[in-house]
Parts: sequence; C-alpha cells; structure tokens
Amino acid sequence: MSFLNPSSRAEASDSLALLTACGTGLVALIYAFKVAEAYASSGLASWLDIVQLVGGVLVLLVFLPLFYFLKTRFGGTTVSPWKSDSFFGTVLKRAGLAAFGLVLMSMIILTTMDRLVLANVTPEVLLDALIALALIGFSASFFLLGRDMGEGCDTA
Amino acid sequence: MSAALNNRIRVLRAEHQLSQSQLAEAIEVSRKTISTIEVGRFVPSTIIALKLARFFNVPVEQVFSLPDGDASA
Repeated sequence: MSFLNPSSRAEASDSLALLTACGTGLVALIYAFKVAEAYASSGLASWLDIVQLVGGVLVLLVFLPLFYFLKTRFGGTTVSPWKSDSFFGTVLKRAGLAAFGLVLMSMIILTTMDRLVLANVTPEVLLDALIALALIGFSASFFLLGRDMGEGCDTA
Repeated sequence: MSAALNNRIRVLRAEHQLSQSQLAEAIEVSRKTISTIEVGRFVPSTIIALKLARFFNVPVEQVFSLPDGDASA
C-alpha cells in the first residue's frame, strides 16, 4: 500500500488512521513544548516558541490538506477510519479509550496530590499538560497496538 | 487483540490462488486487516466474517472456529 496513494476506500481509511495518529503525536509535542516553555529560561523559551510555531505551521500546511485529500479522494461519502471495523479502525478506537483512561487516572492522582502539584502549577499549564498527556497517550497507544509484528507475506 | 479465534483464511486463499491484497479488495477491507486476521492477531467484526464466508462460498464456521477447549463462548 502506498500511504499517499491508496488503491481503495479501505486503504484510504488505514492511511487516514495513520495520519490521525501522526498528526496527534505532533500536536501532543507542541503542547508538551508549551508546558516546558513555562519552566524554561527565557533563551530556551524563545526557541521552544519557534518550535511550536513550526509544528503548528506543519499541521496546518501539511497534515490538514493531506487529511482532506485522503478523506475526499474517492468521492461520494467521505472516508472515516472511526466508522471502519478494519484493524486500524479498531486500533484507533482502542487508542482513544486508552488515552481517556490515562487522563482520567492522571486527574484522580492529581486530586490526591493537590498540595504537592496543584498549588504550584497554574491552571493554564495544568490544562496544557493534560492535553499533551491525552494526545501522547492516544498516539503512543495507536502505534503500540498497531505495530507491525510480521503478518505474513502477500502471496497467493 | 481480543480473544483467540482460529481461522482457515490462508488455506482458503491458497485454494482460490488469491493474494492478501486480492482478497482484501474483493471484500472491501485493507490488506492489513486481512493479514492481521490471518495470523490471529485481530478478531474481525461479524460483518467482515460473513463477507469472507460469502466470498469463499462456505459457512462461516468453515472459516472461523473457537480454539479447542474454549468454554468461554
């Protein structure tokens, strides 16, 4: 399968699932850098600002157009990996569930450590950290659950 | 992913001289889906299982079966 030139709607759905996970990973990094910026020195913070900007531009100019291209490539109804019961469609839903669980557990742990953590962190940084954790959890779970484990050769 | 399920897709593919890609195209799923079902890594939905059985023109029990001694069903 060529990632950018899928031969069928099913292959396009798989490509979209991969693209969603990659894009989510990139956005997660942007949020992680935003959190790091809050604790970095002014010199490093300005570099992290530039990295975030580059990441944002990459998402807007590369990932979103690619996403739109793959979604509408086969005309008619748009392709959606979330509605697919293919392997990658299932992995995508499980990754979403794993990310939800991760964030929920983190929030429960945070509430028990309110004096240690919450008193020393601004709400803005806390929200950015939770968003970064959710997105990293989703992206990492997707690649972990969908990793190539040698599924045999494509011969008759 | 999920519970174990035996399948005869590789055998049926060989009998029909089909590659994973050809089978995937015929039942409108991706090759990755076929390959992961074939090695038992992915338990397919009922729809995909029925599509496979219909394509090979056999009952679904001849494509998929529970492992011996599995009483959890």
